[in-house]
Amino acid sequence: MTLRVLGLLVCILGWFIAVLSVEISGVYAQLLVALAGFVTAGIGALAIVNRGHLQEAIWKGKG
Amino acid sequence: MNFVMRLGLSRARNRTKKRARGRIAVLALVLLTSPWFVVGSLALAQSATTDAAPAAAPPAAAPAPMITAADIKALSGPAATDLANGDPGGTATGSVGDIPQADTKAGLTLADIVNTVGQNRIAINFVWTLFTGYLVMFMQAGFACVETGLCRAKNANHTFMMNFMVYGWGLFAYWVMGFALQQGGSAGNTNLGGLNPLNSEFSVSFLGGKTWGLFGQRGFFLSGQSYDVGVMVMFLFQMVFMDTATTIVTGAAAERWKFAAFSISTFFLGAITYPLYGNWAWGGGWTSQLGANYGLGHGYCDFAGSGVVHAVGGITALAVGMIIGPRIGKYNRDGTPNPMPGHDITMVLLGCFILAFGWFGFNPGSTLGASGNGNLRIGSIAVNTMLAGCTGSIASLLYMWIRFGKPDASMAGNGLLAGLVAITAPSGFVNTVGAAIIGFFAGMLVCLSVEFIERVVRVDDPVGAISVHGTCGLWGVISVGLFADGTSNYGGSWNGVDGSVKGLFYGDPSQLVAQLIGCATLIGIVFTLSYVFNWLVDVIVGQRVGAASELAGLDVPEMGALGYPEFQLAGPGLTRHVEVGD
Repeated sequence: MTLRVLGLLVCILGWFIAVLSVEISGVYAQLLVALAGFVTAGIGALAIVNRGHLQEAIWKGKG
Repeated sequence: MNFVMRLGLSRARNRTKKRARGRIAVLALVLLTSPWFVVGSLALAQSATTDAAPAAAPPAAAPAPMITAADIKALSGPAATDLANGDPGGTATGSVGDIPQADTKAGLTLADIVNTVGQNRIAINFVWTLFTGYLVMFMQAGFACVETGLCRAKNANHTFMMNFMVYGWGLFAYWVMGFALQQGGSAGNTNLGGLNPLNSEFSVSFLGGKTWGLFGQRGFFLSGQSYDVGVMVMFLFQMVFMDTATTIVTGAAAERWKFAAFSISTFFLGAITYPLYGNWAWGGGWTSQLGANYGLGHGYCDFAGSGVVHAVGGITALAVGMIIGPRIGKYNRDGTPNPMPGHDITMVLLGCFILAFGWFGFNPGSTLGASGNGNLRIGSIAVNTMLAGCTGSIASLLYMWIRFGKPDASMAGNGLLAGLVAITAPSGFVNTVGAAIIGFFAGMLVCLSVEFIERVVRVDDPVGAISVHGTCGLWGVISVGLFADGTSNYGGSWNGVDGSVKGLFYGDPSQLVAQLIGCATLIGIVFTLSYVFNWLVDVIVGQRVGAASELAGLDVPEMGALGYPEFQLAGPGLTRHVEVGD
């Protein structure tokens, strides 16, 4: 459960990083920051939230 | 047939290393040569644009003749006696006599003519938007066929019914509040007569003191001021788009989703999640204003909904897929996946054709008109749509053929859909070369994504909805920031920024920044919102059916009737052998 909540927070953090790119000067710097935010959000969903589910996956159970 | 083909695929994986290395080499060759194809095509497209740039100056316009009231009075149409003889050539039907007069005593006036011209433009746009909306509505049949065909026979009724009832639940939710949240502040679209009743957007001041529109506040139950002809057309068109997003989720959660949980989840998606992102992109909300507020190109641009419709649906499908877990038997204890082939590949391919047909409503219809404001670009949009679907299916087919030794039918179908999903956002902004490239990459991307989701992420997605709509939807959004060629002109501006939308390859990298912010919003906000709500549904109602129901197939336990009552399903559930009864 902790991992899932952490993952969701990382997702929101990724969004916030991407949005903060509007405050940066230089379009290529903005591009990098927006990309970093997008990737961070993706990691939050695919790596962290999902890991929380895989730990309790039914196919790991007995029987 | 599909089963046999899957067996073929399975055998292909076990062939000699030498042959596998050969295929990988060919695949690598294709992947390596693709960028050159891209660069070459772009160079070709840009040189064509440059060559075509110098144009002869138009001759000085002659002074326009004045039309007097006397001229108008002198106008006459064919005599009633002539019309009584019939008009087989169609040359006499529709003339001055058909123009409505505000005051029959005063006769025809210039105001009558001008008003008729204006109303005809709106009428053309109404009919265009409604008709394309009807095409999009028919896509529900395509989704139902694709998803049902890719599921096992014992779940046919349940899967088809979910696709059927997204129409009911989704429409109801959207009428109650979804449309108001999405479009309640979107007044100003002149294609549909201005949509002036939709004039209230809830906004906050954020980052740099700029106004951020969050959701609309007019149009609940389509009552009050929103009881308006233009608003009704807009509602119908936007509603069928929302319905497309909701039907994506049913594919990823098929074969184990409790029908009650599906109903609640669909209602929420149609009432809140989809409309919020729809507002931010299409309803005058904050992502659409990234250009006007922060100078990021033309703000987030999503012409027909790679992000708003497909990525929202695909990302919600990812959230639900994680919560609901894989089907029993999908994964072994070491985490390796087992194939669970669908029961009717012909139904799948028929569904893909229906969807491709409906997409001609999806993309060209998103001009919201055929007359004025650069809307004649509908021909280009339709061709782009066609091309991207074509290159998507070719890319998927070649990828599977080279990698596994057989041209996989279901992935060719998914490749077609991937190309169509990807071109949805850029269809109104790119040329045909760009469309072909976008579709081709989407076709390869969907194959890679299906394997990644199944083998690495280990989310069970029976129909590939997360990859087709989520992954390729995100690619479509990004591709606007790369391939938009700066030739579109929808009334001289887009999202309140003058000029045409241009991507990185055509000189405006800031457009790509806006697109990436849109993608981050899809994962950061839409995923989170969908996840939290569906987790609540899981806690309160339970998302997943019981193991016994799942093994028996959901048709009887959940729906009370088999999809194919004449068939006899053999085995306790995991086996898929179907015997025809007497």
